[in-house]
Amino acid sequence: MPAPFKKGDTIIAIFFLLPIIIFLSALFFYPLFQVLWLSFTSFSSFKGPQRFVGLENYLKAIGSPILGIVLRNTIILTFFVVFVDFLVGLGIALLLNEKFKGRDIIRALIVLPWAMPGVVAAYLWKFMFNPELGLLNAFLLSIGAIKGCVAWLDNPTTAMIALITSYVWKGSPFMIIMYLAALQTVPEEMLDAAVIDGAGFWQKLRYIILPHISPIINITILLATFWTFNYFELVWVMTGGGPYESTQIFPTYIYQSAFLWRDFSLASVFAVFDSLLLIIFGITFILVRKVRF
Amino acid sequence: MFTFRLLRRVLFYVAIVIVMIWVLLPIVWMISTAFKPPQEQFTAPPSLFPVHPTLNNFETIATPWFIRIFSNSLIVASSTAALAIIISILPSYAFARLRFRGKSQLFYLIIISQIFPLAALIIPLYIIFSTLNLLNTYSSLIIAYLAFTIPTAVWLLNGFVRGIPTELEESAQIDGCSRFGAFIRIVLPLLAPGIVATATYVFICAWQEFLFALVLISSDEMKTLTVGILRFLGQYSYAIDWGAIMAACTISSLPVFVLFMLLQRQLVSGLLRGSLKG
Amino acid sequence: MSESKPTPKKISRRTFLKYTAAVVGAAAVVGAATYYFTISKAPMVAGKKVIRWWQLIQSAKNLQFAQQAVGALFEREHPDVKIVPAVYEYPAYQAALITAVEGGNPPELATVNNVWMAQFAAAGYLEPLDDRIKEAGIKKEEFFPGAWDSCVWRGKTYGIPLDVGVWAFLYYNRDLFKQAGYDPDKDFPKTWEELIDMGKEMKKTLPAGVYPMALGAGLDAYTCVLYNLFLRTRGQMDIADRETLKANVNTPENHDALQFYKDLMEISQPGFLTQWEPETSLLFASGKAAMTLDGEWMSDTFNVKGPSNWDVADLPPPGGERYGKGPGVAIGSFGGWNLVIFKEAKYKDLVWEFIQFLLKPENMWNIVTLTPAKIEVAKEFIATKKKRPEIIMGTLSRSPPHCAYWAVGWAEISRIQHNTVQDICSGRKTIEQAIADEENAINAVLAKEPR
Repeated sequence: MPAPFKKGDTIIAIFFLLPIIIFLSALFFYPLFQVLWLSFTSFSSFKGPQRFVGLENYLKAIGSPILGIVLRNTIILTFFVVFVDFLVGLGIALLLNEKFKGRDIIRALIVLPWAMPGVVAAYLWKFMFNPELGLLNAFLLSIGAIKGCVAWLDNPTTAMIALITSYVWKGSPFMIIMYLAALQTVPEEMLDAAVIDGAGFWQKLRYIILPHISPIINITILLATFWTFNYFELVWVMTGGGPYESTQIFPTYIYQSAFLWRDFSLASVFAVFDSLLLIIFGITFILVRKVRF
Repeated sequence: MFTFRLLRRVLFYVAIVIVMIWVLLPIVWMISTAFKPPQEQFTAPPSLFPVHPTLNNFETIATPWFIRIFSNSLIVASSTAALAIIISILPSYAFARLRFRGKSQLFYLIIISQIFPLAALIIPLYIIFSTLNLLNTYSSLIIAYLAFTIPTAVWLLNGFVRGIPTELEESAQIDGCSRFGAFIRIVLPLLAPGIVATATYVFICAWQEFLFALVLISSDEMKTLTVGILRFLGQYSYAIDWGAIMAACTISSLPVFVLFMLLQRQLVSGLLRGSLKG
Repeated sequence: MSESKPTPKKISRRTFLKYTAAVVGAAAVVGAATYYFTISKAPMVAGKKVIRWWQLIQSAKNLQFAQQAVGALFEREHPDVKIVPAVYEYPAYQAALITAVEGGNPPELATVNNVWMAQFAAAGYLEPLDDRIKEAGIKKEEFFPGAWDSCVWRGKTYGIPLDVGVWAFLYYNRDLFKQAGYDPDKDFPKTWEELIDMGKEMKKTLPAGVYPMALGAGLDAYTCVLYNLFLRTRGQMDIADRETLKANVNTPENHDALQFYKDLMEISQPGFLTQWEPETSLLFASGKAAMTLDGEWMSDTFNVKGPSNWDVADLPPPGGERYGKGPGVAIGSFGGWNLVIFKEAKYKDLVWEFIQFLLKPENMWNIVTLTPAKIEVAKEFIATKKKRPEIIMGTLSRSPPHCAYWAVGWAEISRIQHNTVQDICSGRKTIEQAIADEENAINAVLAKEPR
């Protein structure tokens, strides 16, 4: 609950926030508007004059099958990644909050996947999934779970699962750290009181812990969704959008249209679709979860 | 009842072990490959640990250039993290505690900075930095990273501040503290975990960022680790010297690991002991 | 859970000042450090003309040193010039280059992939060099025809070839051949049919984990060059017609080439669809594949890291029943890097001088990432470094640049080719279906070509 409203508060707030606003506007909104503008033109160059074509680019994109494919893939990927991220993040945070030997070292190690450059993590995981030389197949073969070498990345379904795994490995430390920090704010006396009243672990979780860290949960899920949706390194290196575009997602398609095909109008159109989707998701989420500012 | 407790204890440790394996397996693989000689790197079936460990790969990468790009990353990431926290703390407090008009609109505005795919924005941003004559400097990267992490930092810290009950500040103010004093004496110490978490987020974002580092920095000495590591991937990404890359990755993981070992005490600043007991 | 008791106003003001001082001090330190380090910019030496030289990285030797050495030689003759080399890795190079040029800040000299030439020229990035070439007396006959062709767009020449490479040769492991029961000389396949049949037999006799062929379809640029190799060796030179700007895929040649690609998948390692050169060359180098298709530059790597008894040959012709006939020789897909001058570069005359300096045989030798583009230099280069130089020179001289290299939309076309191969190899579409889709897709891209 915010403290009682005082008259000077608005002024103070503006004073604090003004630098950020100016900074962001200058640095961020100019490119944003330029990209928006580009999506309505037929691209020739960034500095020269461009030919305005109205909605033509958008209609073309809507008409082409790739938009639907990219949409479907990105949504599926993001949904599962964030979902598993959340469960894994919360679970591990709860675990790491307990006392046990070696806890400190494990806590420090847990950040490493997140800190690794995306390209490197992608090569690492691509190698883990390598049919002939990778660890996964070697392990499965040794326990007899599979007979021959399975090419995980060659089949759309297993490729998606493989990608989800690597995304979660790379991204869950963010949730873990945030939830670990948030768990610190849960008042101990409430938990003790609950124990006295006979509450078990799940009740404590549901009625005390989760409500208390709810703001952080909201933030992390929103952020994780935005970042996962736009993260391109893992898919780019591991599958390149294949096989046959079954793992092509928004960020990789945008990168491809921009830097391989030099079609910045197309890239801008897809970027706008990308952002619109995220805005819709964000607003829906904020309303449903009643996120307060 | 006793055996039930024991079972829970056992399950607990099993869970820890599984978690450890899942998180650490690729990392163990990375470190062990860094110590493997070339003929052991790609065996079928692959072996988890090197039979004849060697320091060769580390020697390969221990060039002055590598040390330079390592420091570049360190400088950029630390500066970004420090500046981001300094800039973000007060605004996030303002968001959490003060009521003023336009707060949610402002928030939406800040959020919008997170939803755009970077590849589409990078050229206009490059033009901005080129005009400011900041290309190929640390400042360009730091400013770019700040632009994209400050909104999130404000948002995260806002969430953490909300987790601190206002009664504490109110009682401090009743006892005679000024509002700002209450902020310093009450809120900040309780915010320590949140600050560490947020600083970690900013540091890591800056540490492993790729696209800006590729485009804003062109001279070899100014490159960051993330871009420089591609160097070991070799031409056309074939003839990959996996040993060298893994050695480079191992080394580049060290700062974060060390930093976190030191900082994690702050992250779980002892205010709450485990909640699973009982 | 309350913290230490708050104290009366006076002391909290002091603590307030303490904390403020700490924060301001920290900010000052950080700000000062950042400012200090921003002074250390790129080596822009005052008063000198700086030529930034961007090139693709090279793995076999440390290209930066070679670049610096050559740069130093040039600087000695031109004391007012400073050459600043920088290397980029392939996946990121195009992004960095396009960004720099669009941002109005291109490097003074850069090597550009021969398939990017049409795109860059159409975008207005490149300076036409015809007059300079005539003045300097550079003869196009000195260079491989495939290389020179890639520099010409719409009648104007936009670059000078620096180095070249061709996809692809058939590398084979003599020991593994013997192990599978074949004599690497007598039993070497003479047609595509023989190759496939031999591969199928080898699958049975080779140990587990060792495959007859290491090949893939994992990256656009890689898949399409193999596809092109098969198409041309089968007799069709291009995937689309340059004059009519229409796809040319409803041909028996295309059908057979794609069938061959699909059949190769059967005798290759699993993981075909998402693997490409890094993995396939690795498999061959570590002795886990009896054959692979790769460019001539891999000889250097295989010499150092490869199996002890490897050899190289041309891809045999289709030669027969199942796959039709072709011209009877292997015709590959020509890749390479060209030196260009950007329209917005400074000191163009100086850069042109530097380009000619780099084209001197002794300099070219040291700074190429593949094989030098001048025929005479290449002959010596290959003879000293590679196995079977006659084979390599032959294919290099015969091969045109990649299919549709003349198209501004080459990258999109290569993606279409890549998807076609993947659709067929995975069995998702029949060859007929895939070719029909390929035709529509390529025509859609070519419809956007400037006319």
